[in-house]
Amino acid sequence: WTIKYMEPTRGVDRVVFPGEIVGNVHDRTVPLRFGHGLIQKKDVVIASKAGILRYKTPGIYFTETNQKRYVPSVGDLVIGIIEARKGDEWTVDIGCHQHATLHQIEGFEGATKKNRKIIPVGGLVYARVTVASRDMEPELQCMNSSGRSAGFGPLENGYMFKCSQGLARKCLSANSTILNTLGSYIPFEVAVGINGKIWVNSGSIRETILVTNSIINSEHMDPEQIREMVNTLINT
Amino acid sequence: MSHKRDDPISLNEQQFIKQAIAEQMRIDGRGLYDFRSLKITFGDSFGKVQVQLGRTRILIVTSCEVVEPYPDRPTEGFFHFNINFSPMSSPIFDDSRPDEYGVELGRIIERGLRESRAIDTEGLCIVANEKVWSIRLDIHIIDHCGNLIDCCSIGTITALHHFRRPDLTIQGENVTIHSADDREPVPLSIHHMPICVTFGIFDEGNILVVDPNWKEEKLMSGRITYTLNIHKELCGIQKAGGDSLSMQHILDAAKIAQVKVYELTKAIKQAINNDLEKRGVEQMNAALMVTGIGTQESESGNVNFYDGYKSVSIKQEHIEEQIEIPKFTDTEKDFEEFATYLAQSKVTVVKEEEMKDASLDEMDIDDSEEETTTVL
Repeated sequence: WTIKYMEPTRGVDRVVFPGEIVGNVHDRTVPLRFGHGLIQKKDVVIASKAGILRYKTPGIYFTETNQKRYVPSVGDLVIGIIEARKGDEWTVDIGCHQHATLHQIEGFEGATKKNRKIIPVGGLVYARVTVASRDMEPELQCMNSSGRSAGFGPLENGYMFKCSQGLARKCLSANSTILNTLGSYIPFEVAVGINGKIWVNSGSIRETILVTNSIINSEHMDPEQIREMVNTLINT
Repeated sequence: MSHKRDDPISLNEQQFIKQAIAEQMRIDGRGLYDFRSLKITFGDSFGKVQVQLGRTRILIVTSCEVVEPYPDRPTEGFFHFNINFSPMSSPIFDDSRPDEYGVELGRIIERGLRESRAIDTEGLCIVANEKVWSIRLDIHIIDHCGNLIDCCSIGTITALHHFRRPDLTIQGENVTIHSADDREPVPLSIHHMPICVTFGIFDEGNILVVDPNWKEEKLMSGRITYTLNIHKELCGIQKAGGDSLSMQHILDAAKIAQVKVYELTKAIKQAINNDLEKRGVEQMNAALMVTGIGTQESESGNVNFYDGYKSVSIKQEHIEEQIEIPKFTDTEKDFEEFATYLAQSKVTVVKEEEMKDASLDEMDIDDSEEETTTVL
């Protein structure tokens, strides 16, 4: 099929639908990158996912989408549940098409045959996706790209819940309203998996439940409403 | 209760939920004895109900048909309950035959209605030996987020009260079935509203939790369901396996279930009355009461006003023997009374059977069910 040349009529921060021609690349000297949800075919850029078209300053266009189903890609930080142990590897459920594998020795910093982390079946791990392809099992490691264990590894206690990817992405941003507002009242630790799983741990059960329900409810609220909601919840 | 294909629950969540329940808290912020929010919406036709209990969602479609009765039961109509476990509701359902839980669910609902004589098959007779009504309820599970039993029970009784069958006139041998435009459709004779209240059992039988959601359902060590109506009549108890309960807990739970049934009945009647009002049909003869649980407006945009509107009154036929559950104050004595009550109700059923002199019915329900055995 051929692509008809169409003039894009509107700018950034608009809703785009799959198949919609978002723009044309006129000037090839300017370095532009097209990220999530955009496909470039010769000079034409087409949206492949429904979402809001965004632009980030060093020249990246992407669509801000929201879905519940997780499709793994390399470099994603995810929370997984240990399903089984097969020899030196763990089979981990990260909520995608297949279970991922996490090597007990190669996936951890400073682990050897004699000295390895013991995580029970059913335990939670915070890991990074190293191999992700639609035909293969994804692979994880509990280290960042330079081999440091920087916060990865098993998550103890606390409570985990599932959410949509949009909410997970919002929580991952540094100025996420909900986490900052909650943090000003309650001390808690949180691990956000881009696969739509969020882990929360706090001093008491009541606080953890409060944080969990606030985050879940904040998905479709704007910052003002979020602050109001947190205020009401804290005061009761 | 676990299933290979279902979403796994991590150890962290398991520990957290059990600890929270031990501290009288639940993960969605409810109290131990709170139901999730109930939302009842009606479709365009009578008897089409969608019930949402929290995130659990079901759709019920009621239809009727004129059929021939069984030769050994010439004056009895039929009630068919068909539950369709859609795979889109939960990964544990696939297109195969319903599993143990599915069969149990169907039996609890049907038993709660038949054996308490809420549904009257004799009232469905048109011409003896030739024509009877067959009422069919198709329950579609759309979302399974825990406690399907209560959700289906609420939906079934709402659909039965909401449904209207075509009016008919009998002139000798000829039966004329009137269309909805011709004559206003007629309600079924449902005598009362038995509603199921399910408790999840935690902490080795020490803690009971009302309306468990799906995570709690997977972690509970047993389940007990009470079927009660607003007149304090116990229509059934179901406890299939699981951790044992002390008799104090069983009696306490029955009291809690009674309160819940009262609230639920108010909500259901309010919802039905609101919808019937929109359709221009005379409401059920229940006083409109303030409800605690939110009700939903009807979806039907068109309200039919019938010309030559004939007033239809809904008779509440009372069951002849209404055995009241005695107030539970003294455990030992009360438990004996409770046991005699159960024994009495069984005796009544047997007497009815002997009077009818019926042969074995395919849909006969096995009498040696859990409702007559007591847990000690």
